[in-house]
Amino acid sequence: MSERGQTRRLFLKTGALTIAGLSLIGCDPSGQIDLGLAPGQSFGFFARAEAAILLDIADLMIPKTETVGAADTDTALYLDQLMQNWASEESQRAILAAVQRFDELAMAQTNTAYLDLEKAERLALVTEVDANSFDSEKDTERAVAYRLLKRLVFHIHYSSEAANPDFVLIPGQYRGDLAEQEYRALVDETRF
Amino acid sequence: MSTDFDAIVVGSGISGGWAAKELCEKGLKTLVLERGRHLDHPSQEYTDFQAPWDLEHRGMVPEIYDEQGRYRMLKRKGWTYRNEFLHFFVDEKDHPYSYPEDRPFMWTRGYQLGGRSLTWARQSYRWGPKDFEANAKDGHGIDWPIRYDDLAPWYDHVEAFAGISGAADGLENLPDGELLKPFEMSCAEDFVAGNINQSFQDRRMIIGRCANLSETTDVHTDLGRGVCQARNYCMRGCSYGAYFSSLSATLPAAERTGNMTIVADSIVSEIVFDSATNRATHVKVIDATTLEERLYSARLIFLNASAIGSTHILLNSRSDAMPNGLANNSGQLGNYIMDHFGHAGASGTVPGFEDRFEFGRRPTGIYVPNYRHDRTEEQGFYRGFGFQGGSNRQRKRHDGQRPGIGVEAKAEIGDWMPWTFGIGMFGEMLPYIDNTARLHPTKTDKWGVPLIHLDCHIRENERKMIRQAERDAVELLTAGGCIDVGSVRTPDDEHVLVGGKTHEMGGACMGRDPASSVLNEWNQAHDVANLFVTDGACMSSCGTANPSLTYMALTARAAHHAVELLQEGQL
Repeated sequence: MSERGQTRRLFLKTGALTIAGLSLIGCDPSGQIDLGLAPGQSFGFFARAEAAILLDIADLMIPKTETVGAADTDTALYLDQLMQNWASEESQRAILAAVQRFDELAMAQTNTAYLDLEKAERLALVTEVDANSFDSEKDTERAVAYRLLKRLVFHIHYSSEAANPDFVLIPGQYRGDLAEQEYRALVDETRF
Repeated sequence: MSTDFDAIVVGSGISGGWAAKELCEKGLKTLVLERGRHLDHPSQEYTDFQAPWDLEHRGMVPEIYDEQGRYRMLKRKGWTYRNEFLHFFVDEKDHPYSYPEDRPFMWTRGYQLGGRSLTWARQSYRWGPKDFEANAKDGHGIDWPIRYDDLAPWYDHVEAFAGISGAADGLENLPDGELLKPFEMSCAEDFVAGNINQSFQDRRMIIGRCANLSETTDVHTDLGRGVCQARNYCMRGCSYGAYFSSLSATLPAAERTGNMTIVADSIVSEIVFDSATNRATHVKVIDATTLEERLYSARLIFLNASAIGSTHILLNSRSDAMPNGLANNSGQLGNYIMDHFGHAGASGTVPGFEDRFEFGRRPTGIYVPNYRHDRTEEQGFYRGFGFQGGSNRQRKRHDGQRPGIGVEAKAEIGDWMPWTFGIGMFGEMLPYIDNTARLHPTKTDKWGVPLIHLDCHIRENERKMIRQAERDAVELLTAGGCIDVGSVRTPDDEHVLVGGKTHEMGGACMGRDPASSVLNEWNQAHDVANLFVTDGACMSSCGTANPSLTYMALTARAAHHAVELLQEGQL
């Protein structure tokens, strides 16, 4: 974890993305942000700075606790793939706008790029957008876009292998009345 | 390849597979025509070994289909709109049909070898005596020319082969049969069913009977079929062959006789009739890819293209002798289109089992058979309805569609929720003569075949049932011991989509009188002796129980009769 409290994946090499009140989000400052990707991983739809924001938002939405978080399940990377081979043009525009909006809001509210905010500030911003998107702004285009982004992030994460430790592909039988230890034993026997 | 056969079976779904099996086993050289692509079993197209994280797009259908206006009806259906088995369903944009703008019809199809037998819900119930007597009793539709006893031995025949799991429940109008051991109820279902069965004299909640092998016999293992693994991924195709489909059961049985020829990608446009001999002589096929036309001939033709599909082919088989369609001297071809309907149900919580859990994904639910066959002043409607549903226990989830993020939102996820219970109605639509399938006067598909135009709607009798079913559903779950019971019901002024249950029936109904029906008591066309229709088109009423087992029994019975006629030289 960096001093700024970014996710374990995301690390800003140089720190500041804000120059004289102008965000660099649209400039795609190649090489300035280390996304912490494993070899062979890359973003194809989102520009580097957008990917950095997405990684951060996903991690704020579903942080690692005693169970895995969105960073552990490569949720942002999978979303990037979906944008390339699943999403309609309308959804692509909406998701991109939803991600970029966090930087726009950060600039508007603090004159600071989203990625330059402290973690507590970023969490507050995402929390605010989330609340408004289900309440006062729920009928706006930007709220619809945010909810789509959130739905996809949750779907991707919670359909991942790491987020489903009890999933059994081939149970082999159905039992409808088990004590918890009996249930656990069957899961453990058949999980792999 | 020869184009001359003893028999031709049009369609390879549930009933077509049975026709092929029975005819081949009787020694007839049989051609099976399928308009969709060929599939093997197990198929490369099955996705049953993919975990949720392995599924392409995590199971979500690509949004490009929305932009292109594809699969509109399937999306409207909801739960079947999944990427992992989308390829087993038809896109109406490629295969259009027609309906009045204000009365849409949902026609769910599967154009591949095996047809909809790959994706059916596998619920398998015998119809009871009252189901076959209903038309005669209340005067709606055409009286069935057969009764339950005519079909009972054929139910035995098909159950033993298909493999139907279920309990012997001893119910008057849901006859027991050759059943494999039942899947067990969950503790919550056992509790609710016990309470219901104690509270009512006329209502029983039983475990659903389904065409999944809870155990095997030699009949099944000889075909390479194995025991159900409780995955409940049946609609993805089953590599174990554990649920009954044409691909896993009937077509392999036909294949091993050496008498079957399958030709896929062959769209049957019409059946050619020879007025001199009064026989159907050829089946005209359009190659789905090359558009080439071919003719196949046979002494015997079984039409098993689905209720709507078979009716469509007959309507399009126009000749000088039969200008309104083949076997349509009665003028009844295309009438009495039916489907089951839902649109009412209830759900609740089952208290008291917080320390009990279920393991595995059972491929069936519970069933409450129809208990309202008899119209009374108080009831105010004919026929009745049953309920299907079940209980389950899940962990709390978050679909991202409610407020909250971060640690707090995550803390809401994962804990076990209480057992919940849901039931939905399956109502019997009356056979209405003016619920129809007709050829569209001007529109054709890309193969030049006139579109089928479906004009069907429910009436006040069905609306009354929906209202009653909502009350009954609440009453059942409450008596069953559920709490927090809530109900759903489609408002009276909202169109009920016919076809929504994928149980289309009618169009070429059976009856005794050639003047008022298309088929006789053997599913044989009154007007064309060597033509048999044994899919849903033949049904004179739709009952409340899932119809596929009845199609199987009718098909086997008809096939044996047809072979007898051939052997006697009558065909």
